[in-house]
Amino acid sequence: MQKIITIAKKEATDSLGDKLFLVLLIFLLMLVVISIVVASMDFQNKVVEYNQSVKILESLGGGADSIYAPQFFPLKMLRSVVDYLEILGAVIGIILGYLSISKEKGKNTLQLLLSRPVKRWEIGLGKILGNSFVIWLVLGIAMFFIYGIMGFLGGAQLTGMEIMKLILVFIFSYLYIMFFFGLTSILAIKFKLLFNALLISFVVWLVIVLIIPQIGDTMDPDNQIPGGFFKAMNIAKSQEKQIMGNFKNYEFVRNATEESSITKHYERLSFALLGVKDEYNGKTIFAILNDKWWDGLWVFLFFLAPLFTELLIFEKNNLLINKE
Amino acid sequence: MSKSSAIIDIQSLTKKYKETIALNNLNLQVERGEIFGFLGHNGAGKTTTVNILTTLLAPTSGRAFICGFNVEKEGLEIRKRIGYLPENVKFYENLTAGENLEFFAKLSGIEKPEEKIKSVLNFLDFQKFENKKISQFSKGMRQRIGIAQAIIHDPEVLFLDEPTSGLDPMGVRNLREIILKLNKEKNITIFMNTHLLSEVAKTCTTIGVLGHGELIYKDTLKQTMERFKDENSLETIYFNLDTK
Repeated sequence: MQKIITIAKKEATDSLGDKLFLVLLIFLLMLVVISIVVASMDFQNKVVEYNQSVKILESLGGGADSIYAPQFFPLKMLRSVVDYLEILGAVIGIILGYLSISKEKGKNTLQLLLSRPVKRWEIGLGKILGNSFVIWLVLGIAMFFIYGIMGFLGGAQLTGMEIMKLILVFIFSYLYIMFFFGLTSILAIKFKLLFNALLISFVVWLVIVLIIPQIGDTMDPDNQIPGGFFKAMNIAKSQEKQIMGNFKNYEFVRNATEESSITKHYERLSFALLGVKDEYNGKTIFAILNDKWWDGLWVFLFFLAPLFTELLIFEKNNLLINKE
Repeated sequence: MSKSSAIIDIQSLTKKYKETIALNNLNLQVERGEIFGFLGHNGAGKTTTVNILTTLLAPTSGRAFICGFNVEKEGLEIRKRIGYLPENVKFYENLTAGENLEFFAKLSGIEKPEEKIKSVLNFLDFQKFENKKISQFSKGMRQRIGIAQAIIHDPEVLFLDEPTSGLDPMGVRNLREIILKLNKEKNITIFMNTHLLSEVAKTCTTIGVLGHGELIYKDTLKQTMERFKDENSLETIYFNLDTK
C-alpha cells in the first residue's frame, strides 16, 4: 500500500504542477462562475417580468392568479456547469491521462518504475489514485465556487437534499472524467507515437461528447421546436406515446446512438438530479435514481472499463514500446 | 529456480517482434562478481536481452534466471535483487536529486530512505548535489543519479544499458571508476551493454559479443587478449568477430 501511495502522491504533485492542466482548471472555474451568474441573472429577469405582469394586471383591475410566479430551483441554475464539465471536464481527463504516461515514456522513467520491486498493477493503481485526487480537487474547488456564489453572493441557501443531489452529480462527474483519463492512458501506453494517442483521444472525445449527443438530439422529434414539439402542439403524453409507437425502429436507432455515449448517460442523470427537467424537481434522490438507474449503471461501467483495462495492460509484461 | 551457479543464466532465449527475430536461441551465463561487457552492433539484441532480464519484456521462448529466479514467473523477486539504468534516462526534472532518490527508494521498500540516500550519495561523492534540481544537471551528473537510484536498495546485479552514451571523456572516466568501485566494494555483478570498446578493455572482466540475436563469442577479457594476441586491439578483435 505504501508503494501505491508513493506513486499516487508523485502523480498528483506532477499533475498539479503542470501548466496546461492549471490553465484548463482556471478556464473551467471561470466558466462555472459565469454560468451561475448568467443563470441567476436570467432568473432575476423572470422575477422582474413577473412583478411587472402582476402590476399591469392589478392596474387593469384583475388578479395575479392567472399567471404563475417563477419557481426558484437553485440547482437548475447548474445546467451549464454540467454542460461545461461534459466538454472541458472530459478534456481535463484526456490531458491528465496523456501526461500520466507520456512524461514517463518521454523521459524513459517508465523503465525505472517497471524495474522496481513493485507489482505492475500497483503502478497503474497509483497513477489512477493520484489523478483521482486531482480530479476530486478540481470538482471540490468547483463545488466550493458554486456553493459560495449561490449561497453567499446569491443568498440561495441549498437544502440538505439539494446538497446531497449536488454531491451525487459530482460523484458521477468524477466517474465521467475518469473515463476519459483511462481511455487516454491506454492509448498513450499502446501508441509508439504519443501524439497519435492524443489525437485519437480527441477524435473519440469529439464523437462521444459532441457528435453522438448532437445526432441523438437532432433525431429527436420533440426537439424540433424550442420547448418541445408535442407541448407546442398541445399533444397529451398518452397521445405522444401513441404517435411515437409508429416510429419504433426510428426510435430504436436514435436511442441506441445516444446509449453509446457516456456523455448522454451522464447528462441525463445529472439533469435529472439537478431538476433541469421540471418533472424531476422536488423528487427525492431515491426516486430519481430509481428512474435513472440505467444511466447511472452505464456511467459506472464506462468508468470501470478503461481503468480495469489499464491495470491489465500494466500487469502485462510487454509494455515497452520502444524496442531495439 | 535455476540449477546453475551463475547469477545470470540465460537458456535458449528467443524474442520475436512479429516477423523480426531480435534474439535467437541465446545461451549465456554470467558468474557472480563479474563485470560483463555485452557488445554488439545496433539492433543486435542487446537492449532486448536487458529488457527481458530486468523483467520489462517477456521472451517468446526459452528461460532466463537471475539469482536463481525465473524472469517470467518470479519478476518481483528479481526486481528486488537488480538495479537498472536504461539508456538516456532524464529522471523527474521538477524534483531534486534527493527527491528522485527518495521516490525510487520508497518504491524499493526502503521505509526511511534519508540515511540510505546520504550513504549512496556519499559513496558516489555526490552529496553536495542532493538538493539541486535534476533539470540543472549535466549528462554526467544525471548518470551518477542514475547509478544512485539503481543501487539504493543494494542490488546483487546491476544492469547498465550504454552507460557512457553521450558522456564527455571526463564523464566516461568517472563512470568507469564508479563501476569498478561498485564491483570491488559492494561486490555487485555488473552487466553492461556498450559500444565503447576502450571502456570494455579497461572495465570488464568478461565479454560477450552478440550478432543478429545470437551469441557469437564469450570469454574472459584476459583469455580473449591471449587468444587473439596477434590482434593489436580489442576493436580489431570485435570487428573480426562481428563480421563472421
